[in-house]
Amino acid sequence: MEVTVEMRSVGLAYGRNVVLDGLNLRVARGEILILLGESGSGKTTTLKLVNRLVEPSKGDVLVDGRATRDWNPIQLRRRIGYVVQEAGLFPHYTVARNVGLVPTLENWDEPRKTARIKDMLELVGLNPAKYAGRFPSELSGGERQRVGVARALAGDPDLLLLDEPFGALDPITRANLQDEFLRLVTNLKKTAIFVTHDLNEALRLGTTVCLLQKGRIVEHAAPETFVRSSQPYVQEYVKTIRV
Amino acid sequence: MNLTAFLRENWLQICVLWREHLVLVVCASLAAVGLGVPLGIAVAKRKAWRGPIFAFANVLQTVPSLALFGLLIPLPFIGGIGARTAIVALTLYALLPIIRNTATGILDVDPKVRESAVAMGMTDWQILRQVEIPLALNVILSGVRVAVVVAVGTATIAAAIGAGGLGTFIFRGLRQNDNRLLIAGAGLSALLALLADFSCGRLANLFREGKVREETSRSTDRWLAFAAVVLAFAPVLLSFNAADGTSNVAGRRKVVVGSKDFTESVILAEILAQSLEARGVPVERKFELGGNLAHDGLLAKQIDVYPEYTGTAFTAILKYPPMTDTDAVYEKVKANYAERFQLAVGPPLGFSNDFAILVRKKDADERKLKTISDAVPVSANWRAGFGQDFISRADGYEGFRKAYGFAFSKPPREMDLSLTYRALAAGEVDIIAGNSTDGLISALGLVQLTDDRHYFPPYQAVFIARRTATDDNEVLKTVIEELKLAISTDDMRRMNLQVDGEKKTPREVAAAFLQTRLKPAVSSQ
Repeated sequence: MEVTVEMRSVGLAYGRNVVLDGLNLRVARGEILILLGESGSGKTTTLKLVNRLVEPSKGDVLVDGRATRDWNPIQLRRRIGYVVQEAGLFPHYTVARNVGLVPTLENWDEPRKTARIKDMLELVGLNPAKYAGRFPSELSGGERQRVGVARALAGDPDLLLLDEPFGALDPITRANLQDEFLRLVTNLKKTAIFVTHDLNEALRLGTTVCLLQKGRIVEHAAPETFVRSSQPYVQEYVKTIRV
Repeated sequence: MNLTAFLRENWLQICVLWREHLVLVVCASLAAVGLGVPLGIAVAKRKAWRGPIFAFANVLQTVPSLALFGLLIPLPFIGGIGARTAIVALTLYALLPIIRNTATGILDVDPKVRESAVAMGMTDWQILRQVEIPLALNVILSGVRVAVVVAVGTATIAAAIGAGGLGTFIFRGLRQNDNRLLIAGAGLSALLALLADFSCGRLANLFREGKVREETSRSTDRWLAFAAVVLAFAPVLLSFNAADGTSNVAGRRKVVVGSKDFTESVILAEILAQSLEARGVPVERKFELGGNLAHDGLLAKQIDVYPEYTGTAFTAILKYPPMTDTDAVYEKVKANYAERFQLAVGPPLGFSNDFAILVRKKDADERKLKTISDAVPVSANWRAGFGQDFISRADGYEGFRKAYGFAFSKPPREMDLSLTYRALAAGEVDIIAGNSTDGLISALGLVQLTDDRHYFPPYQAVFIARRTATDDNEVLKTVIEELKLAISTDDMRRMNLQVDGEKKTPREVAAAFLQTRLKPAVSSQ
């Protein structure tokens, strides 16, 4: 099994405030790891350790076998796709410029870049002729999120980080996007780390689900095993979707 | 002469003042953007710098503009009189809105947008250039717009330190009691402010990207901005016709003639300037310098000569206690100036401009007031109005009050000297300290009370020149000698009235005086 991301006894504290404690994780190539937890559990922080938006105060975070602190952060980040809630699109860029951001930073030539933007928009189900020239403010929430995914994929990264990307969408749009995301990541053989507080979403998308509480891992298992866990906190979580 | 006729007659000078104003504003605005935007970015990026930088800019903003101009004058490199100092002061004033808006604009960028920019692998510089500045641009540009409009207004004060601009008309209008000058100066600077505001707004619209832009088409914006800029700069082109030709005499070092900021001083300086020009010496005029700026200008070698009064030199500059012996004051000033400042005090011009205690003719007639002592018993309920100068100087209000035993029930109103005459005539105050040669005294029907206790020191008019200037320039020395006792008190009062009352220009009045009085001397050259 090829390991893409690994965390070895990672801890993070701001002064006396411990955010993460003794985190050990391995994400295999092609896996979709779900980081599940309540707000304040440390799931988003864990995600940000991977592309060095946050640096650990203890332990090592390894990407492709190398500690993130040994990577040039710019190069590291350009190899990793990143999607946040509400997409974080640049409001002053058109859809095409947003999607073409990493190719532009990497100085791709114009024809290759244009082709890539078109491919990416088609991949996420947006008609390039219709959407390329629009601004984010002219898109619906679902469309913005699709553009966010297209932007993250444009640099052809092996690894995707997603921070509650579908959190602000209505249930039907969310279900559609979840299906398409699953198809996309499986077809393109990407590795993904996906943060959510929604257990349904976690079970639907994850190859493994990792539940965090107060900066510690409570349970980390495949969805089928996860729901049968004997951990009381997991059971509490599982109960919420049975109601 | 009504306003239209005035504008028609003075349009060339208006164009020159407009150009000077525009140069001040444009230079100061560019400097303020160049300095303010980086400082604003620093403020946004470094929390620790926020306090000190804002404190600095805030303090600058609260310093009254005239005081800021004054504070800069003694500084080396940036100080002195003229446009450079004015530009520095205007730049400092324009900084705060630009720093504040730049910082606010950048801090207001959606943190999610910034986070995605970092996560996409953009460098700090790329984030600043491609994300933060474009998104903050709207706010930054409205700060620039505020700064430019404020600069147009503040630049009117630059006239007080010899930097020219439309404020020249405003100050002159106040001094000469001339509403046409006031209206022209204030109206034109308001017009310039409107044009600046409008073109900044349109130009800003051109810079904006994406949906932030207002919904007018780009080409409309371009045309409107272009039209406004053309309108603002058109007088500049016209102003080059106004080159006076007098300062371009080849081969001789020019003499820089200064004056203080009141009519009489301008007329005297103009008489000297025209006498020099009649002998082919190129002259640069730096007139209407406020406070002791003309003296500072001499010391800073920015002017060569200006008209002064012995009493002022004695008390305000040399800081001696007042003395009433005319000759002793003159000799002491002459000796001290030579020793302490290397300045040459010329011979007396022939008249004195003493403090004149003035009342309305009606009051003087009704109460039979002839001398200042006559006024003391009837003055308990009077309100006095004095210029800043009279209130603050050693031979001014405090000594005067004690010498005569005045006991006003209310403290004197402190106002601009030129306004005290009008305030007295309008009945807002009842007694003022004017100048004995002021043309307004007879124009407004005021009466001078005799200084029966000889409190006021003598104010003989003299020219003061830098010694090196007179040593280098024989003509300057000769002209100053020739003006010895050439101007009587009556001459001076008449010339002042011609400017203040009959609205002639100091240049015309000086020329007419030289024609009649000094013709033999001039033609003998």
